[in-house]
Amino acid sequence: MGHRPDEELILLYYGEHDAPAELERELAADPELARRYDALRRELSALDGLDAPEPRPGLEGRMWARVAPSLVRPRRRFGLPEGRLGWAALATAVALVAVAGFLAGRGLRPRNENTVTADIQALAPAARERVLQAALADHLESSQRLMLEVVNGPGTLGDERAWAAALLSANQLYRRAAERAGQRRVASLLLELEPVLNELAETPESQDLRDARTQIHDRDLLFKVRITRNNLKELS
Amino acid sequence: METAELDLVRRARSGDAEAFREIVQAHSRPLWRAAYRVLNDAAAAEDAVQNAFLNAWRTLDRFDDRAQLSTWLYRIVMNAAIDLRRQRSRRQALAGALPEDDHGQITVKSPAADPHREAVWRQIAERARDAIADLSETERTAVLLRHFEGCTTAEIAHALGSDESAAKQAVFRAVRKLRAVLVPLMEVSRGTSA
Repeated sequence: MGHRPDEELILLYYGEHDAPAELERELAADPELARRYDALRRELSALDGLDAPEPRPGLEGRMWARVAPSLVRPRRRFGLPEGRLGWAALATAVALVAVAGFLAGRGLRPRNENTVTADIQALAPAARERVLQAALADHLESSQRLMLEVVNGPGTLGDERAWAAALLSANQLYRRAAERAGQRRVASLLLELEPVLNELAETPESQDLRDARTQIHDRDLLFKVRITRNNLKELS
Repeated sequence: METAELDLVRRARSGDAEAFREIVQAHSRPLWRAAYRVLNDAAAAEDAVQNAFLNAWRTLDRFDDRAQLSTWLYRIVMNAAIDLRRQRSRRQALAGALPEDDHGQITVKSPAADPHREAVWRQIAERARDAIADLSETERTAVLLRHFEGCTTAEIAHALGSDESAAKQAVFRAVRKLRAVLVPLMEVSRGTSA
């Protein structure tokens, strides 16, 4: 009677052994083998303690209600998805430039950062706050989506690099605006986001994303971004 | 994949939200159960499923039409659930809280009847969740598909995009790692019942 490795016992346990009858005869005749198999069964049965209950009724409807508002048309294979490009463009070109100009009644032509800051400062304080809060909340939402894709995705970057690059420029603008406005907590969060966005914008397509994932996990960025975004949405 | 489901995937890929709604309808429940096993929290499991569907919508063009949609989604939701679990663990470590479900009671099935044994089994289940979270993505997907979904080695290989030998080895490695974590606790459990 030859030695049976654990791998064979695992196959038997999961019903995939090539010759189960033969192995079962050996189990009946060999107490040591039977002891090992019993131990395996007992240990794997601990996983059964993780079985799940039924979800609350209406899960499918709740899930669709949560997912539907975020659906945008999927990406074209060789371009950025419209939704992402829209957010990125909005964040970089619109939020601090065009929105401020538009709301101040001065047209949509982009101007330099100092002019934009002056435009924003020309707004009534309450309106200025709301504009910045809403634009920043949108920026954080887009950053959150990018990070979720990095954390849950296949481990390499495709056109997310361009998305990250656009978010990076927007992030720098928002951070400077937040610093000038004395919003230290927001500025600090945006400062934490920058190296991650930079890493993603610079990562070659074929390179894996372990560093970026580690940064996102270690700094708890998804949590911080979600909370800050939610707070901003409530305010704006 | 069945023709009807393949048709849904293709329509969703081209931007048809109604087709994606049908996918959400069909897969929410099994995905929620998979996420719950990792998170032990009903609301967090819904968060994980939501993240998974959003991720799936964005990456549908990477889905191989020859694969099973259910196993592809399963893999995505596992990643989402593990991500939420790690975030929660860090916050709970800071707050000194124990992981509990949304009703404030831990709902682990156990063969134990008395409170002390219940506590031991809760600890075992929680360590099992930690151990699953610590597996590589391939090992985790392989062992969970095998143990909870009853998938064959061939089906696991398809989900992983690997050959059957690699899928089998992934299950072996995962079981070995899980046993290394669980054996000491199981011995404690046996000691308490003696």
